[in-house]
Amino acid sequence: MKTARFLATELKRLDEAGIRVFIIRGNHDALSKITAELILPDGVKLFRGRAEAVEIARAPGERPVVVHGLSFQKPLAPESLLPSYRPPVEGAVNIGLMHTSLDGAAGHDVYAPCRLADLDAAGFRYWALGHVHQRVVHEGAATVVMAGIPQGRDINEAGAKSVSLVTVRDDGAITVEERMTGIAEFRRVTLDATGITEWTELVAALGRRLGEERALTQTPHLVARVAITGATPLAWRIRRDSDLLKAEADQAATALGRAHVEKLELSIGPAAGAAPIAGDALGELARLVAEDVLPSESFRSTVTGAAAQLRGLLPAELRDLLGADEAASEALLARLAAEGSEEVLARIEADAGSGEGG
Amino acid sequence: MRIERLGLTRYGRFTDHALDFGPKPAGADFHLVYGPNEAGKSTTLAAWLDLLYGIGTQSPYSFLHPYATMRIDAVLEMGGAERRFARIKRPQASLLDGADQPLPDAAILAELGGIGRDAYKAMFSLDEETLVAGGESILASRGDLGQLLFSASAGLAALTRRLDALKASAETFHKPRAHKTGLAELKGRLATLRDERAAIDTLAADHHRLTAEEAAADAAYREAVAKRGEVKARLERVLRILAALPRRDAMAELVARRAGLPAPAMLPAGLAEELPRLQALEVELATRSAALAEEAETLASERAAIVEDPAALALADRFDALQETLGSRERSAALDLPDRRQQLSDAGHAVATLLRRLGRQDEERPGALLIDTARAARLDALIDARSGIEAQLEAARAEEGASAARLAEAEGALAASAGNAAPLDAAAAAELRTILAMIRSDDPEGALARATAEARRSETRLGDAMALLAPFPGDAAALAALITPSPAMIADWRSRRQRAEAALVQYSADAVRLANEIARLQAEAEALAARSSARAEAEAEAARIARDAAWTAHRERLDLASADSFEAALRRDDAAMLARLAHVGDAARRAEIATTLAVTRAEAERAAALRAEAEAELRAIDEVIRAAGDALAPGLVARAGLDGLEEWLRRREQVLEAFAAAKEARGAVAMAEAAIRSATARLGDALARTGDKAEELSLGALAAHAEDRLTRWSGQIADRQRLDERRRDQGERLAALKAAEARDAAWQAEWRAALATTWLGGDSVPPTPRIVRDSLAVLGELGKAAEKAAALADRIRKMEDDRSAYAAQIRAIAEELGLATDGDIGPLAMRIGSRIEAAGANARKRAELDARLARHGEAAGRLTLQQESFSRQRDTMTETLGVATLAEGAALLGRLAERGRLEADIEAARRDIRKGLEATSFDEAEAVLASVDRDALAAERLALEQESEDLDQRCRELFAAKSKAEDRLAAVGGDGRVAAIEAARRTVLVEIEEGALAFLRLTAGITAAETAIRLYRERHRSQMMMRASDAFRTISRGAYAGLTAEPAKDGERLIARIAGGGSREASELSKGTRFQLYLALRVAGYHEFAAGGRSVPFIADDIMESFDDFRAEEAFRLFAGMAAVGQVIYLTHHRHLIPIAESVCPEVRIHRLDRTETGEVVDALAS
Repeated sequence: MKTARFLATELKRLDEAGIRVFIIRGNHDALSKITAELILPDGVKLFRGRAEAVEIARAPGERPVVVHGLSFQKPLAPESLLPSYRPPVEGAVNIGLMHTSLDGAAGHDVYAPCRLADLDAAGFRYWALGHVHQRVVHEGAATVVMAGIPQGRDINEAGAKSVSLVTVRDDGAITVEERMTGIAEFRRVTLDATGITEWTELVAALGRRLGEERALTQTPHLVARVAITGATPLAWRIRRDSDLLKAEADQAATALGRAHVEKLELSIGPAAGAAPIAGDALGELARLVAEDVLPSESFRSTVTGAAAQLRGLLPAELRDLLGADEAASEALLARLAAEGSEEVLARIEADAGSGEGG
Repeated sequence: MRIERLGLTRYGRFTDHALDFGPKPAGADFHLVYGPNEAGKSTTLAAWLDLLYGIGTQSPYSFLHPYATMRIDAVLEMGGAERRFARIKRPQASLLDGADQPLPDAAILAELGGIGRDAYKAMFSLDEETLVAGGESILASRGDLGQLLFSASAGLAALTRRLDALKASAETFHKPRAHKTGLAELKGRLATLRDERAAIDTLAADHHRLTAEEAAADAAYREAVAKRGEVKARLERVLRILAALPRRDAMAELVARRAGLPAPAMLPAGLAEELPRLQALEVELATRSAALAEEAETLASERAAIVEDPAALALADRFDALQETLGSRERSAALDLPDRRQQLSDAGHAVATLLRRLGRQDEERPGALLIDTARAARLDALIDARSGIEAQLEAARAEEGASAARLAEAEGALAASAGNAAPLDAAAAAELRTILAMIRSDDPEGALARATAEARRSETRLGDAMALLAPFPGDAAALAALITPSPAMIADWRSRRQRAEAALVQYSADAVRLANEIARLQAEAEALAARSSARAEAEAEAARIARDAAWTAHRERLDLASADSFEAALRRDDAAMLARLAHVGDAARRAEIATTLAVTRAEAERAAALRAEAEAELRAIDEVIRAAGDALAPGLVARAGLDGLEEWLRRREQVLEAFAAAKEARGAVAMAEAAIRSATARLGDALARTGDKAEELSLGALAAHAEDRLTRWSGQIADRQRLDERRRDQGERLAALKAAEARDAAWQAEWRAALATTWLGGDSVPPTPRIVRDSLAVLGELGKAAEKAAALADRIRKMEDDRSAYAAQIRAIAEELGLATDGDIGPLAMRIGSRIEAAGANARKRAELDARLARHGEAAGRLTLQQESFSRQRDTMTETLGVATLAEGAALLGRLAERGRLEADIEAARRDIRKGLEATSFDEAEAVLASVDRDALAAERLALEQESEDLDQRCRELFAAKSKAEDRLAAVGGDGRVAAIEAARRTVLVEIEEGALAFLRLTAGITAAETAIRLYRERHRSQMMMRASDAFRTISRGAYAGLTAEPAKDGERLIARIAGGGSREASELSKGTRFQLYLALRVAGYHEFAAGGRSVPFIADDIMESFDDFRAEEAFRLFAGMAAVGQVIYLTHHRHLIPIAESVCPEVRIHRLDRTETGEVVDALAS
């Protein structure tokens, strides 16, 4: 309730400032009992299961504004909700609120899908949409805005986040301003390590890359997930000392100020052109791993068994971590095995030089 | 790939040092590099690796040669071809070819097939440390064959340890059946967060409940409040009734009282006020009347008491006037007179005193003594002037005296000084001064001393320099006289000698060489001659003839047999031809040799001749040198050679220098002496001219004497000057004295004249100015005092006159009044005065009383009128009221008023009761009160009060409950703490996710690696096992028969078979044996590698520290075996290993890193 009451307090602030608030429920809060407990201030209108049109009180000489909205009761909505809406009011600026996945966005289940063309043709001046977290603006007969979210929560919600300030002018024209509200922005950053042969060079390149990204970002804080790619002779060392490299990245980020490195993803390989010679034991080992071990059935079943055992111990929220179905699980495990063997071989080999030989 | 030559051009402590391994030998490519400690063995290995892979950014081998100059050169054989490389230290393009042009690093690295520096070191180098680690790893691997083989091949001794470490790191996240894993901890944290959230957050259901509770508490509270209000209202009503009851009782009482009072009647307005007024008036009038009567009586009696005195009244004015004029004077005189009389007497005394002072006490007319102003002034002036004149006179006398004394002193001094030697004149004095100055500045004595010292020093130096030329028989002069060869000549000799020597050496060498050549040629010629060429010639002839014959035969017959014989003959001829041709070669060769021999012989002769020439030249030069040397110092050249001669000459130069210096010094001494002499002469002359005979004094003494003379001369001059001054002074002083005396005389005359004009001048000796001054002062006082006395006397007289007049008048008045005229005037006057006053007072009093009496009469009249008026009014009133007296009337009115008040009270009471009971009318209230049961009501009141209190309590409780419910609801609060906990929970989930994926990665990787190692083992084991087994048998000198593998839990285990039966696990072997086992495995690994077709140099650095000679021998055997497939280099500082190595492998090449005395490094091949 704490969070809900916090929301109520903030809504009260809006109410005291004379700002009207219109809320529709989405799929997540359809099942919530919490919001039922809230007592909302007068200026806040929470739309119910039946579509309503609320006129905003204005001075007599001004053009009337009507807000339409509908809260769907169930968490699944396979069909478009547009037909359920009240028709637009003549002579007024009609604004519609809808929770919809539109034409279907990647990574999202379908929820009250409807076509952009339908929204355009509905006769409303402005559609305020929710559900998809990526911002989309469409200007046509109607201005349709999927406003996105004010603050990204993880790398899958990367990029600068904002809210949209919409102004309806006296002549009915509508302008949309994007106001950046995100305090922290997630970004994927790639660093191509091809051709870098010295560790210090790598760290410097990392720092430079972070600096570039930092300069491009307007948001106060940058959270970067750095992917290091390319073919470099340092590949082994990077795998072995990935912790150290992460620490270097953290330090570079701290030195830049207001930048943070979330994670390092490695997809690097050794420098090309080294023809392996027979008798090179480690090279042979790597070949054995790649050609004979990884594809073998017994190996795969061992790994699958370990994964299954681990899956049983994971908390409920992570049950699908190791693949939601068999095919995904197999692919993931194959990838893990390849990466893991590279790492282990790197650790074995890269340590060889210290303290041995004369 | 192998190293032919490794050049340490500028690296570590080496400069231009090369290890020449030579071309690939047919047999074992085994090299042993021997050098004592610190000779640079590890440097060699480092240099090899740096050549291959580049010199690192920070190299420890730059201590002698800075980074920019470091350089390694090498000649490598790669792929059968010889290639030159050089490596310098540079960030890019550090690899150079033979022409110092940059090459890409791949030029070498390609040969190594991707093996990095660390891998190379691991696989192809071996040192004591690695051997030990290898031995340990055999233990650590628990004999696992796959790991051992792999680690031996890859040179990774710590493989097992690393795999174990990786496993451990995976297990920190999760391990089956373990409780304290990372995963468990993270899940624990999730649970904690969940609990935390539950603790601080409020569920929706709870919120619902809290809201309901709050509403219920509110309702209950309101209900209780309402009920309480009701009860309180009722209680109030009861209280009102109870309050009203006594009121009603009181009212009843009032009504009763009212009954006894008269009915209200209509009275004229204002009566009530009038009556009291009349009553008061009555009283007042009575009082006044009484007072008036009393007053009349008093007045009359007073008037009668007054007495009159007309006589006194008549005299009053006269008396007053008298008192005013004479009376007042009389009074003051009475007081003053005694005083004044006293004063007069004092003044008289004063005058007498003054007269005494003047010495004229008997003077009767003091006034006559006074001196008038003019004369007094003149006297004053003179007196003033006196002191000045006296002072001047004294001063002049004193000064004169002093100056006379000084004059005498000066004369005396002059006389004293004049008694000395004859005075100088100015010119002589000047001359002396000049000479003295010159002497001081030149200081000839000092110069002499210095010159003498210098002369001594130079003599000493000369002596020393001569001593160096010890064998010289003569002195310095003789030395100077010698003729010596010039430096140019000596240089010429030196160069000629050098040339001759060089030529000698060269020609000797040539001679030797040519002799060798001749010998060689001769030998060759003999050898050739041995080959019997003559036979060949003969054979060739014969073959030719045979061939021709065969041809002829064949031509005739043309059959197979003849063809065959021709063929045979042809062949024979060809062979003979060939042999002959060979021998032609020989002949030519022989001829050649002969020519060469002749030439060489000639050359040899020539060389010998030149040599002889050079010898002769050398001898000649030497002879010349010797001659020259002997001329100077016999035997010198024989002892010390040309260098000796040169040295001798140099010393001679030094002697000559010293000689010259000594001479100079002597000259200086002479000069100094001369200077002294001349100065002494000059000074002596000058003194003699002034009459001073100073004989045979030294210059210093003479100078002192002259100084003294000069000083005294100047002293005398000063004395004379002083005397003249003082004479002048004295003259002046005398004149001054005379003037002062004259002035004094003049004054005295004037003084006598002034005094003569007054009585003061009467004596024979004129008084002093002091006395006169005093007298003048006294005279002044005297004048004043006399005046004063006269005034006083006059005054006193007047006063006495007044007094008598007054006294007469008073007596007159007293008589008229009939009083006694004797007695003192004062009291008499008083008596008169009082009588007059008394008379006046009485008169006034009588007049007053009369006036009062008149007024009294008037008042009485008014009173009477008033009394009449009053009576009329009173009568009216009493009639109206129907009473007899006013008092009764008042009482009646009082009762009426009381009744009125009662009425009012009763009315008020009715009102109150009505209001108190909140009735519409009094009657209603009356009715209620009438019906009330007092006791019941009292009881009800108690009950209601109790109930009200209870309800109060209940309301408070319910209010508290309501507040609490409100607070609990408010405490739910709205803030972000729960959201924060949610965020933390999500973070923990992310950590679990990452950890799980990393765990799986690592686990999969480890499994893959272990599986691969097993596969590797399977692939390589047979070959490697065989080689390792052989190697182990070799190095253990047969103690162990070999190695096998035995199946074990995770694969196979390495077992050592003891010779003669039995076996031991690898981990059970002794430490030394483990080293050997490790070595055997490494050797097997190297062979395995080389079996792949390539080989690279293997470098071992002194690994046999712990091996005895036998083991060392076997180890060398292993190395020799390796050297058959690749280049093996062994670095050591044990010299004793060299013969061992040579015994095992005769083809071993030994290289030395040695030092010589002059610090050069010499490398010599030994085989």
